[in-house]
Amino acid sequence: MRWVLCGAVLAAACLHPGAGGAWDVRCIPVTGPADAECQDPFERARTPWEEHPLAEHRQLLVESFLIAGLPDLLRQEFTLTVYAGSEILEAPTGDYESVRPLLTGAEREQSRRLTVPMMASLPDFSYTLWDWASGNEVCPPDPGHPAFDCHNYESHIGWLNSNHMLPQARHWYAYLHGLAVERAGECKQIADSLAGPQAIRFRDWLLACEKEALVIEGVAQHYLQDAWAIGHMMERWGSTEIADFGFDRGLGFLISGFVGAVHGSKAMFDETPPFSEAAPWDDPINAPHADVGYVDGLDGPLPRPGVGDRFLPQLMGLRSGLPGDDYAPQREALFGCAVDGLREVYAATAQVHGALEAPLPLFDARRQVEQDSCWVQRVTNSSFHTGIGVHHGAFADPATLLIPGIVGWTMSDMVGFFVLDAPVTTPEVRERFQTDVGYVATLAGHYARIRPDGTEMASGARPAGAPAASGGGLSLAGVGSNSVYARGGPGVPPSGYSDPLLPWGLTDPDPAQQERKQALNLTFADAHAADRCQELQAADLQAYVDAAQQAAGGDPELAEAACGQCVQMIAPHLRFGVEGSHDANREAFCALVAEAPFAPAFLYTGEAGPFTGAEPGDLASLRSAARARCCSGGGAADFSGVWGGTCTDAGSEAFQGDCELNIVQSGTDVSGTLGVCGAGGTVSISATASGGGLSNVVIGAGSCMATGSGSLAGDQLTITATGACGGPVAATIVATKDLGVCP
Amino acid sequence: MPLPRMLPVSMAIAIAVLAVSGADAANPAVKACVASCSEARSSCRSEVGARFEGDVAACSGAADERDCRRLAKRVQKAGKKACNDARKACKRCCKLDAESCVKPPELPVASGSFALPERAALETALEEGGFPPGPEGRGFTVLQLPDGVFYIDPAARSPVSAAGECADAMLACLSPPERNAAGCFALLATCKGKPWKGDAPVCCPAGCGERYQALLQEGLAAEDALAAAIWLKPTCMPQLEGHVEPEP
Repeated sequence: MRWVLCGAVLAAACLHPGAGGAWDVRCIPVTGPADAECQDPFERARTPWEEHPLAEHRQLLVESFLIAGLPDLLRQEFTLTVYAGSEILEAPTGDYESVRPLLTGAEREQSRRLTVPMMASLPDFSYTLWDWASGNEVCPPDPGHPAFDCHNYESHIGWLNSNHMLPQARHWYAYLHGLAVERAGECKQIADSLAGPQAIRFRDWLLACEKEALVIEGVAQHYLQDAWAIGHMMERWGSTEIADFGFDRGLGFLISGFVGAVHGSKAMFDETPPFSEAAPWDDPINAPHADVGYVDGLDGPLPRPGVGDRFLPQLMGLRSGLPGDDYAPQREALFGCAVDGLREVYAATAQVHGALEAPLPLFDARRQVEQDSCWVQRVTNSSFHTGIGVHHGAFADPATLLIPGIVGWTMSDMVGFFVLDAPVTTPEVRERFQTDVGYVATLAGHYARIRPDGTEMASGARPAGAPAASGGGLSLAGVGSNSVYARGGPGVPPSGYSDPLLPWGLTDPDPAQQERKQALNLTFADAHAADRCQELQAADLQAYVDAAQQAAGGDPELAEAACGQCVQMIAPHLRFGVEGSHDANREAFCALVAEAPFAPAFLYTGEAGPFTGAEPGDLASLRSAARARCCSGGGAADFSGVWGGTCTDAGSEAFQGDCELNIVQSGTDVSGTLGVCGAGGTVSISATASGGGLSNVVIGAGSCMATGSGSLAGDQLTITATGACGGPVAATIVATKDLGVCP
Repeated sequence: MPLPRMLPVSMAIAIAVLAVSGADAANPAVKACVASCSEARSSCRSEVGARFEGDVAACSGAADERDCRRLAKRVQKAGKKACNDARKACKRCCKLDAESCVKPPELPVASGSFALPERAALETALEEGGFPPGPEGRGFTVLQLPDGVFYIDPAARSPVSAAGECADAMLACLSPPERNAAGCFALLATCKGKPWKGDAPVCCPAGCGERYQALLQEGLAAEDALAAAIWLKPTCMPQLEGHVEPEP
């Protein structure tokens, strides 16, 4: 079968995350087979992006961590507990619970499992970190747009991803890296304010803060990694803002398609029927090709061979590329930049995760992530020209050009025949796009013949003295090349929906900024405990307690969510003792980290002194105390264990038997024998009977007995457990059992 | 004698032009500049002549000697025209008091052979590839998308596709130093009528070579001038400007 799939080239890159992103990413459903992929944006935001051969961004960050000498602990999985609403998000592939954190009124407790390395995949799944934190449940670039559609490649992400290519990638990295370094500094400041035992007490929160700083850097590293994928070493037209396309989604789609053609379309063709039946599509530029290379900012002007997405094994030297090609310079340059960035961030922390070790000598140490040495690499004119064509087959055979002459009439004609039902795009705009693509493709072909190793095409510069075009030089239908929209940098957001500037507190005069900051603050809640110290007032804290206590005894999920949110929010403010007399050894976190003139608000456990200094002071005991403060009357218990008994007197139906009180919290049975908590601590047990003839209840370790006369039908045996039960249980727990009728 | 109340517009323009021309002619610098333009053209034509003789000599004994000579003549003719056009541009420049107006044109260089792109190749491939029909039976469906259908209709030719054909043919031809752009314009068929209609071979309009040379005279580099001549306003492709694809 002869494959001539010209039109698909334009469409293709819009359809698959890997086609628009440089190194590939992969989201594997938690419950699915290893070769399955997450079905939709909601699933992607709720799934840890695990290791996979095509999770290339993740793998690159893992390698970068190892080479950079960062502690192993930083690469381990951790869980963020967030408190969300009970909203159900409907998607064609299923329903999802919201994970978007709420400041108040939590109705569900949700867990977000993640690792720092996986966050290098984030920009291909979400627009920003706050977008991910919001569960992909809003639409950052287009707030009125449905979130589901907003996170699909064909409708949004694919044509708004110019920030994955140079030079915008540099600006996005610089901004996020600046945030990461600043956040790392904040973490160190918090750590420095905690002396000795207090630093140990609150170590988990210090770790959480450092992890968050590295998470931000992990997201930033995506853009850095992209900058070293050869298909991204060029000025992709357009911007991350819909307004820069004149709000013309169809035009954005067309441009995305053309860029995809140049970038290489293997990721799409290899996986989309009917093209997949004819795989592989080792389409340059991402695939190795004899005409493809880049000019390095440090080692130019002779081009080096390069590879892109789906060819990480070649980059890593694990699999061969083209004969004679060596991708070590590309690899070592990438790692040189990555190591420089990672080490700068971690060095700015207090290094609670462990000391920064010497890096492994596997990178180009000349690279500095804030200098041109990491950002001015560009593909050659020859590469750009070759990239416009569509190649089929395995690169080593080699792949053959299927669309000859695409530079001229094929490409420009083809786009004119697209039917886009996307709104707005007019025939006039399409015509401008066609002629401008024709211009660009012709220019590329000419440059490839006379200056194959030059980088004019990838630099996006309009030729000096070029007459005014319909689109103006190297623009496409009025949409300029990448550098036109290269905005922001350290301290200056690169787009209108970027992650916000620090600090990520709970309030901001700008409602949009406040929404983003809250999402980040509450998702990385432990990391931001110190930020909240300055914002939550006594009334706010009491409101959490009130909400939790009101929810107690009601819907168990809702009660647990309200309780958990209360614990999360008040724990940093909680003092052991009463106002005017609290345990200084177990001082509240907020009292330790707050800076003048801020005077944090506090809640008190109500314990009476004196304090001996022997009281447990770890974070677990703090959380237990907070739970007791928040959730008294709450909790859940049942008699699901042994409940046997015999009717000792058939006439009076007296009951005597063994029973077991199971104390269940968050789905975990934490009880031991009756009256003794498995998690440590003690519980006082009392029991009463009501409703029937039972008159005497005796309860003891491992057994309970009730006696009485008359029918047992309708009798309720109520067991009340009160006390500190260690771990998450520290409350009065009430459970009842309908004794039924003796057999 | 009272002046006429109003001169006819054409007469007024003529008077103005004569006045300017008279002033230019009286300006020794302009006169010298214009003379240099003529000298440059002579030199240019001599170069063309010398190249022609060389090309013809190279044809002797060739298997396709007749075709070879015909090609040499086309190249010579294009060269002479380039010399003349360069002189005109030079003179215009002189009247603007430019200091240096002599800019030699790109003399055509063309030898060897190359394969022209085939217009029918796309449709043949789509047919053989088994692509389903496009919307309303037009062309071939390539991809069904949430927002519509991507399809290719090789029959829906337009000034855009014709410009693409010209550009593609030029790039197929270009192979410095064997063939430069000026030489390729001389080699390729000249379009007649509307090149997006009918079965005439792939071609470039006559104005493309001239526009290319004019852009060189304006200071553009050769690689930029070729793309600009075909695609940018004022384009050499008739009806490309303002062309709008009909709504599907």
